Amino acid sequence: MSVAETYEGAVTHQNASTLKSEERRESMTFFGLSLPAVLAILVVVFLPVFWLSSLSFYNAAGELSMENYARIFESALYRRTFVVTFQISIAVTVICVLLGYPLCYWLTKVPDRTAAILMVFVLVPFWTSVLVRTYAWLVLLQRNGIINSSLMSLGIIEEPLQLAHNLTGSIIGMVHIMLPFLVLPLYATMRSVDTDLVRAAVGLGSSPRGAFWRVFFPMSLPGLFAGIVLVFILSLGFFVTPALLGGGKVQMLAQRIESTITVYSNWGAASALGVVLLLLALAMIWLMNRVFGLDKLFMR
Amino acid sequence: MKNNGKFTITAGLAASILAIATPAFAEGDVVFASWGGSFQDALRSAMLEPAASALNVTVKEDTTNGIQDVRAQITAGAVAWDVTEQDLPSCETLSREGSLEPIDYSIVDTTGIPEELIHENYIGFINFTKVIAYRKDAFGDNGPSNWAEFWDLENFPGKRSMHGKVNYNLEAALMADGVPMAEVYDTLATDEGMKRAWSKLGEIAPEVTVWYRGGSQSAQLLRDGEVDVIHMGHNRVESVIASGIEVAYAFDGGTMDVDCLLVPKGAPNVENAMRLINELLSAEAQARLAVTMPLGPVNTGAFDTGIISEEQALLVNTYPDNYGKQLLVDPTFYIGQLGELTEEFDTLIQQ
Repeated sequence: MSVAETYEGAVTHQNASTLKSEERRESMTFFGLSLPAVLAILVVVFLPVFWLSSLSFYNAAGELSMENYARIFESALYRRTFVVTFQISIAVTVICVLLGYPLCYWLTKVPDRTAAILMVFVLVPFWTSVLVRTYAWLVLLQRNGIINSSLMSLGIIEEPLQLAHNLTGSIIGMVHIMLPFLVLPLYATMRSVDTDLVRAAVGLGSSPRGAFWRVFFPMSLPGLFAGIVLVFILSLGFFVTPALLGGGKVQMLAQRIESTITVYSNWGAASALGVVLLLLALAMIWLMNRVFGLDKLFMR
Repeated sequence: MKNNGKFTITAGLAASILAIATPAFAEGDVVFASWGGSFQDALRSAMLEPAASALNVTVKEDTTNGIQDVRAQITAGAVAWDVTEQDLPSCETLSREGSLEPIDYSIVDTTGIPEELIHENYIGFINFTKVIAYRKDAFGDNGPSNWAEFWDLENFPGKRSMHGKVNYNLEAALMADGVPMAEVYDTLATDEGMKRAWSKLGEIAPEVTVWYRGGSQSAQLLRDGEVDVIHMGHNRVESVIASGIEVAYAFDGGTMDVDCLLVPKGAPNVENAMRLINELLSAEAQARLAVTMPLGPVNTGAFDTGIISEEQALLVNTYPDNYGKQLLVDPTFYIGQLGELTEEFDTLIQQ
């Protein structure tokens, strides 16, 4: 072994160890920076969830029991509540996709300036309180509301349509509130799609429609899936809109949790509903992950 | 809802800090808790301030959200309130739990207070009635004014609204089915009667446009013409009428509920509490409240004080001519089975 070789080897070795320690220091710094957030999540999310979950295994008398879960699975009321919650969440998600996808696609086609102005129209309602927007819908949809009175004065309908105080009203209100959650991730993804690829496809002989479906659409999917998951999971836990626009007849899970607390003054019964909702939401995310491959999305 | 809660809390804090009625030389304290808001403002001017000077004590105020507040104070062994107002089922429940001081009837004068509202551990305070109210633009002067007519969609077509809770609705169903008012709770005590009430309620349920959640929503529904006939708080109906809407109602078949006064076990100033209760129930104090808000004095002597005019008296639910037309709610019916009844009710109204 020559002197030079030894020297060179030492340098390499030294560089490697410096790099390694630098790397370690850097990861420690990042860990330190993320620590407050990790602690906050631990304290304000995991501990309460854990505490509430444990409460669900105690009955009103404070004994360990599965009573709270048994009631959920035995009672027709709770079953119906779960069915309604899922029906509404699916309907809201589907309508949001049907409205949101063309909107986002159109936004990518118009000049940037116009798109920015149009995005304001999406965002301003997003910044307004859910309660205010729900009451605004009530003003629009009710029997003597703006929609019914306009339609009647135009002679399109003779009797006012029942638009509020039912399932229709709840879904309309929820779609309006959820739409930005679909539009924002989807629009971001569509903007990042390289339009040259679509042009290349057309240049290579594809029809514009074929180029859209075979090139643009698949590349927009990650954003679409992210939006679908957001809208669906948020819809599962909705409270204000169905409570105000459902006329008391539309009862989703969050409303059932509230009434369980006020009627039974029993945290256990309400916690059990919360736990089931959480598990269902996790199961849905897992399922969507299997179907849509969401992990690819988060790896990006 | 949330905003209302916040408002109540803020108002409550403001009330407990600012609203301390103190006479010039106060001998001792008494702490009183009610529902806050404009209601408690009315109580303050009509009842609490005059009581403070009459008794020569400082009346401190707080606000309550219900039975859980009283329970929490007793469980923690830190009772802060001497007197609080609660609804009838809560009073009865607390009484059964042994959480109340007995009312000292050597201090509290019960003259003029109906027998059925005087209990060992609590006593009636103010009566609230829900009446059938209809818009005249939908029915003219002959709208549905009893329960049979409320149920009668053929002769009285129109959109209906009821309170989205089981309370009062089973009673209404039985009255619609022809059960005399005096027999409602006896009928509900039997399985057969209960079945009859549910099946009658099932007839109207699909025709109810809105099951409202709270008092302010009921007023909005009536005022905006969202519904044509509604079973709702009569003081709120009066406020809708006062805003210029043509609405008619009658006390017949109305469901009357009562708030009570109680003294939590271990209250710091029990004797002052009893003296305050006596003042709050006096004919004059009760009459002063009735002219501020059309809520019912429990003390029938209020109508003889000259404070309430004949015209005003006709609008008050506890005016002797009106009192007997209404069903006084039996709190014991709901105690112990409110959970089950609520679930059955929710199943019925859910789409």
